[in-house]
Amino acid sequence: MPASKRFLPPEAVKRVQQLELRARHIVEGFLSGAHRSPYFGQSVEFVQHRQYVPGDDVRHVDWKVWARQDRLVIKQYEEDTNLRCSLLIDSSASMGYGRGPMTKFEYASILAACISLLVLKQQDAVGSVLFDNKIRSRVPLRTSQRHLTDILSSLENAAPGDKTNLDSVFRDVVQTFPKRGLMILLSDLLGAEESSLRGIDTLRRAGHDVMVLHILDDDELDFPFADPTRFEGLESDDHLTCNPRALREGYLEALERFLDRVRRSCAASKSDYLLIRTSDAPDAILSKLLSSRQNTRQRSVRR
Amino acid sequence: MQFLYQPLTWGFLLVTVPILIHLINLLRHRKQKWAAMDFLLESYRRNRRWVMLKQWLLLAARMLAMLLLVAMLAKWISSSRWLGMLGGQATHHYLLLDDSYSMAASDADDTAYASALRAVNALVRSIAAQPGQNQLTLLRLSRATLATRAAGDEARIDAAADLLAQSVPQDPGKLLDRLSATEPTALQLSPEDALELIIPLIVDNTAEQAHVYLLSDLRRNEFGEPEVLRNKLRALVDDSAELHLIDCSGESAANLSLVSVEPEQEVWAAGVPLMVRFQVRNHSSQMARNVVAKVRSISYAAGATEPRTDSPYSGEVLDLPPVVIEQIEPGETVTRQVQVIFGTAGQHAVEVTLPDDSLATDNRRWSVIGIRASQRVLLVDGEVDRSNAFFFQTVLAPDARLRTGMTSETVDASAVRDMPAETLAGFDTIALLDVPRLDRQAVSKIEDFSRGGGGVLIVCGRNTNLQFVNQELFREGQGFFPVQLQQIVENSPAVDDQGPPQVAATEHPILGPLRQLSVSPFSLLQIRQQLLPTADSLDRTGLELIATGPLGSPLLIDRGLGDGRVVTLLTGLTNDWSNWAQDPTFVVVALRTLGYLGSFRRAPTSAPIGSPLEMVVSGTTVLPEAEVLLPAKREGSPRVRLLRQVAVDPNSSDIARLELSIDLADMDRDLIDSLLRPGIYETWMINSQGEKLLQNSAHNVAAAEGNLDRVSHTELEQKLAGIPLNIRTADAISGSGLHSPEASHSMLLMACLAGLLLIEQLLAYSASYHAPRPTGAHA
Repeated sequence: MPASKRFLPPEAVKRVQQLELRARHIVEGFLSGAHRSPYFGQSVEFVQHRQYVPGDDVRHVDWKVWARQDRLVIKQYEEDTNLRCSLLIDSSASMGYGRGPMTKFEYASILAACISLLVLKQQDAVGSVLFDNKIRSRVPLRTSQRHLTDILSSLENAAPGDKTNLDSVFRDVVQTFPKRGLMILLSDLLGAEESSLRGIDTLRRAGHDVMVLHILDDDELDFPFADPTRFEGLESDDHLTCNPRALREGYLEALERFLDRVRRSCAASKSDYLLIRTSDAPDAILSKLLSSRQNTRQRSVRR
Repeated sequence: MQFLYQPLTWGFLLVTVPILIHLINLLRHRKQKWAAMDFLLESYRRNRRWVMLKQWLLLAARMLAMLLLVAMLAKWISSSRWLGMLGGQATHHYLLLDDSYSMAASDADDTAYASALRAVNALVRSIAAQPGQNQLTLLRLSRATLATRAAGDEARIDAAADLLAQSVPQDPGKLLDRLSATEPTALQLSPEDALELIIPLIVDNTAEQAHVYLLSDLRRNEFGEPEVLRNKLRALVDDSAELHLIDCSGESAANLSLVSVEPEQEVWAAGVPLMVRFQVRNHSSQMARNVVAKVRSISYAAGATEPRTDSPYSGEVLDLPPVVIEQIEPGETVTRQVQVIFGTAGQHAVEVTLPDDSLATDNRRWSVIGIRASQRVLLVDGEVDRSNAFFFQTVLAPDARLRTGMTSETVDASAVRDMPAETLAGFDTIALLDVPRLDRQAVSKIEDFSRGGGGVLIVCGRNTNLQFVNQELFREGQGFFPVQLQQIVENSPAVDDQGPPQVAATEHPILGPLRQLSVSPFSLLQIRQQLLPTADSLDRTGLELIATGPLGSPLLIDRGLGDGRVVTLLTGLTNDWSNWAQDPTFVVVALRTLGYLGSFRRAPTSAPIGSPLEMVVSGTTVLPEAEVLLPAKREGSPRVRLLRQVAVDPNSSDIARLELSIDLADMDRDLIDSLLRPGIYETWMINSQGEKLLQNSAHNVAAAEGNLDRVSHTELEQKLAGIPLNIRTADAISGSGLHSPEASHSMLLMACLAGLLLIEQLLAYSASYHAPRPTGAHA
């Protein structure tokens, strides 16, 4: 099956095409586009005045203010730019889990493909990074429609492998993508909680708009095992033979505490966070995600 | 710890099932790759102790549940009082049923045994209706006695008991069907063997309450002097057993019992008249009049008789003239004789039957008489002219037409020394006639001959050497000569014939019948010289006087030596010693003495009921299969034909042996019953020439059991004073049964099990072993 069909189911494409991805925070583009830019330019949306300093373009002096107040200020306008959307896809071993129709990695790949399609459709730039404890593959930011093929190809060639270490990976990412943009992290955040949260914080401190799509399998959320089972760690050598039902309650409590910590961390760093089950339809999830972002952005703009 | 159903205790192995399941689960777990190991391990670390504790508790609960379940099913019997509350103390009912032949005594239309069976029926039904754990052991006294006879102290009740029920069903009809078909045996029985069998069980099983029911007819034979019985009952009482004596009979009944049928100890030879003596005892308080005893002879002509199962005997039956006994006083035993002649050699039999009375079992007896062609007498004469032997030869063969049943051979004293022991054993009697000396080897052979059952007749005389006799033949009582000789005395001749006879007979069987004559037959007998024994040697035990001489001196002496007898005449047959050889009584004395002496190597004419059968054939090869014809159950019904393998002597193929004894473990009940019947048991073999070889055995009842006199309840209570004994009649038991309800605690055990199962479920739920409910919408 070609990667385009594998990661872009027709029904998903159909629904995604009606959506629009917007940066919630300020991003640095390289084209004039639909997203707010940190640069002040020719746009119509006034942002602020600032004191004139020598060297400023006199065309930007607000002569009306000089006439009324006898001081030179420069008018600054918000410049719209294009979106630089980076998809950070976790390809660690834990993402290979999945008892359902697809693994978490496959699910993340579908989401990434859909987002890429969406971004490119908006004439924005999209790139991808596959990582585990280091970056395994990288597709640079492009706006070309053909660029989707590169992203899909990198997803298809990837396979879940090593342990997760988001902190070191994201430091690398920050250096790779110095300009602020939209960072969409697709990960289960399992294996190295602290480094994961620190990595998100690193991204956010670098000024990126961060969206965390926390993908977990139904089994991981519900722990439905009943028979005596020997659990063997995907990213560790730990193993445990037990009656799962006896540990289910404690497991769910521990998981809930983990999710709560992740939520708190994301909230603290003003990162968007969404917990996703692999049983949820990817297009539905994407629709929900983008709708909520749209609303948030509108509220943000109104403020 | 004991259980009612011991085989079910194997179920305790089920205790290992939860462990096995646990271990199997450990082995058969599936493997699951898992990403969120941190949370799982965290949950495990937090809950490890509780999870382990719950699992162990759950495992223990399941094992305990198994234990309780098996204990409940196997009917745990607790020895302690409080544990007994859980397990329920079992009650073991021992029913000892007297099936001696006195139980067949009919009272009106009923027998004591029938009453006993009804009482057993009522008892078992009452026991079945009682709550709690009730075990039942039903043991007939005959089976207990047979088991004790066969195995002695090793006798086991499980081989003897008719019924060993670990529980009594509500409808015990099937259990009792088998017992209902039984009948009294022909044995004389006492409850002692049965008590001896159950006492160890009761002593060992302290956990169960023992109730012993003895169903008997309380005859005086067994209960008149119950010292042994008292001791055994005391042992039961000491072990907290509850004793019930159930009287199954009514009143004492009149009964005539045939005590014995025995041929006289004389010559048993073909064509020679034989006197058969039988005794009848009147076991009642009233005189019996005109008792007619029917006598039948059954001839088994050797080689001319075929085994027949359709008639009571394979031999030819001849009704002899009945013997009428005019009267028999209460408690008196009368003896009558009947003359029987068997024309051929063989294993013949005589049957005597009394008329029917309240107890038929003891009205008939049999005697098997092994008739030979003739008996052989070896005459060893010390006279050179064999004059002494002449007298005996004349007596034994007076005429060609007259048969005395004995033949003789005459030899010198020296011939005995050279005669092989086997040849000597072919004679029935050795007569040493005035032998002056005997070689030591000859003395030894004669002693061995006598010790083996042969008879020795010693006639003294002028050649008798006192010193030789005392030193070689008497040998301080170790030899075969009965007395030590002191001197030869000469008796003064009788003045006239009117004086008392010099010779007088005693009650000894040889001359005892002559005492009944009104006039002494010895009136003409003159003892001129005789040997006088020392007084000391006369005082020795074992000597019996047959006849006394002048002045009461011992004249004819009988003494036992081994299995045989030695009869010594302390006078001679020559004229200078006595005129006995010319006296007519000499014929009688000689024939009876030789017949008497030749009778001690004979097989017994009868045996008690249940005795083992044995037939040994030597000198010829027999076919491997023999048959035994057992007495019929009832007159007119066919006899049981039993085939048995003959055992050949490993050392000699010419010696074959057939043995048949009652084996409670391996024989079925019908066969055992057949082997306990009185009557003639015919054992047939066939030799290699096709000739049929027969050995008859007569099995007779013990006559004492025919005494139907009973002890009253009051008398029995006095004799068994100090022993708590509940005496009731069989009719009372049949009417009302038992009334001793017991509380049942077995439900408590079940309740404990139910409680434990509930706890197990709670533990299982707590340990999350129950499948979770299907979850609804995902979070």
